Amino acid sequence: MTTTPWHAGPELLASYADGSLDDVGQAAVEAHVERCPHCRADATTLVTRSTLDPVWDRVLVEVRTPEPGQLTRLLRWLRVPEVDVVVLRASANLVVAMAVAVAASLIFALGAAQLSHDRQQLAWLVIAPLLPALLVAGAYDSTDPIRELADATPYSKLRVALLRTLVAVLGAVPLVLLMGLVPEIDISVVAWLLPALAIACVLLVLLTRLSAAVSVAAVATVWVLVVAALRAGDRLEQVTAPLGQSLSLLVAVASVLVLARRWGLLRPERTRA
Amino acid sequence: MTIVASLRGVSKKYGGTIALRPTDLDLRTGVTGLLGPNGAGKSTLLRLLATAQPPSSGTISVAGNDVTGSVADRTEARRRLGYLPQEVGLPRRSTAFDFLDYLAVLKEWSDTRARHQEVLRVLDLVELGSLGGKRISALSGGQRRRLSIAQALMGDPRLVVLDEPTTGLDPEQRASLRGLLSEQARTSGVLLATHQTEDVAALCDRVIVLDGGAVCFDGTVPELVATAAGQVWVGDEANERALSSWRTGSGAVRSIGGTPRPDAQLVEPAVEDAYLLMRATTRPHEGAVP
Repeated sequence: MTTTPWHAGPELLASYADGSLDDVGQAAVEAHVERCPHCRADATTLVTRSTLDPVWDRVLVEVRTPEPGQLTRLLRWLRVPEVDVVVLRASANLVVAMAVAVAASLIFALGAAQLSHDRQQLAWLVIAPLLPALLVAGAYDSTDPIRELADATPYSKLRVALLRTLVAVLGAVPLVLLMGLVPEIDISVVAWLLPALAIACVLLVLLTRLSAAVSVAAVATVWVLVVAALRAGDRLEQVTAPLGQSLSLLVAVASVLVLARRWGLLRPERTRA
Repeated sequence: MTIVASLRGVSKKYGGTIALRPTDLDLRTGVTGLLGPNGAGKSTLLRLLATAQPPSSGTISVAGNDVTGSVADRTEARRRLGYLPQEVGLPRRSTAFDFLDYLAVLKEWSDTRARHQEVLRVLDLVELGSLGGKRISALSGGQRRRLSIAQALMGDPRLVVLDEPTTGLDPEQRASLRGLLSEQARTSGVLLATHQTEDVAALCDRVIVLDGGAVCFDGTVPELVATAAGQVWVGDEANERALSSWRTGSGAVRSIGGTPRPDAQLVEPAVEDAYLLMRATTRPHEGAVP
């Protein structure tokens, strides 16, 4: 190995020390300084507090920030934006409440299996599509221990609700699909998905204007009336038929469009540096 | 001292019960203490100012933004607010750091490094710097209270609204909180509701006494104390018809109000004496909700 005959001049070193060179220059000088004790010694004397303090601050923040938990690492690995990771992590505290709701639905399904086919279908159709909506409302409002604190912050509560809904629905779908494996339940389990999506989206639209309790009461009432009307006309199978399914999809898409128009309520409008 | 918040004709009803009668107030930089019995409307006033509830009538502005107006104005006001409710249901399974991190996100700190730096800053302020990674369920009552206070100080709030912040703190922690709040009050308005008259005497440059949902005193600490001048006595026996009296550690009896015995001597009143005397004269108002 040969020694380096060249040394960086004071001006170049000064620019390097305060970080004012371009990326290539910065990297080139750095590579040299790492190998040359002479220039390293010179550079050390040129580093000022104003350069060093921010670096030191960053190091301190890095060191003092607690290690991320498994959920955080998983969400980061999934490329979820950092701000949403924090909201989702906080929502994980509500998982118990959500799990209770899903467990209740499971018990309901097993109970429904004991009924006659006709009643089973009715009970299933009334309740299953409403479950995600109830989870949405629960996530939005009543189960949050720091609701009063969160209410007084500028961040969009609707966005928080949407993220939590995502957690709730992602958690609920596998369990509901699992219910389909119960042999006594003779209903297409996938049929509830689109009506459930439609109801949850309508609920979110209502939540931009109304309280959670009023919104849930409204969607639940309308849905029960729809099912009752279909049953009176002996046309319950319409819900699972292509017409019912596409109508549900239409309602869901329309609701998303309305939500998009009110996007200002969904998104933090400005960020701090 | 600049005005950080104003109320104009603000009132609040819960059902048929009046919690706050129509009130006009201007809050300035500095520490304002809010005294009053339970149910006087203190928490209601704080909740209205913190935008946690809308008023039944009137307008509230925080840092020049009408919180009773558009969503945009209310959001702008919330960017300049720090709020500590009387009881915070902290998420027990979360760590102290994660809890503040979440609230910082809700307060729109979207840059991760700047946010973490701010979280660490307020943890240090309330002397919890080394406990960030601890679960909230493992923190003591005083530590939880300080954690709740820390979130109210995040960012650079123009108005900090604190509902009984010293509850559960030991004397050292209370003293250190006073230092913290007086520092904060150099640049923002700090409004604190409390039952601790010592805190008011030690910290506040303005006192508001609420009773029955209405302001019954608004002035400086010396002005409040002056209302009790000539009404506090120390003697061998209690005053006749004294509002309140007790034997102190020295053996003498301290009496507030009433007719003094011949041997009794007048003493300097304290904030508490003035408050108790004021309560005695305003009691007919009673009947607001808790």
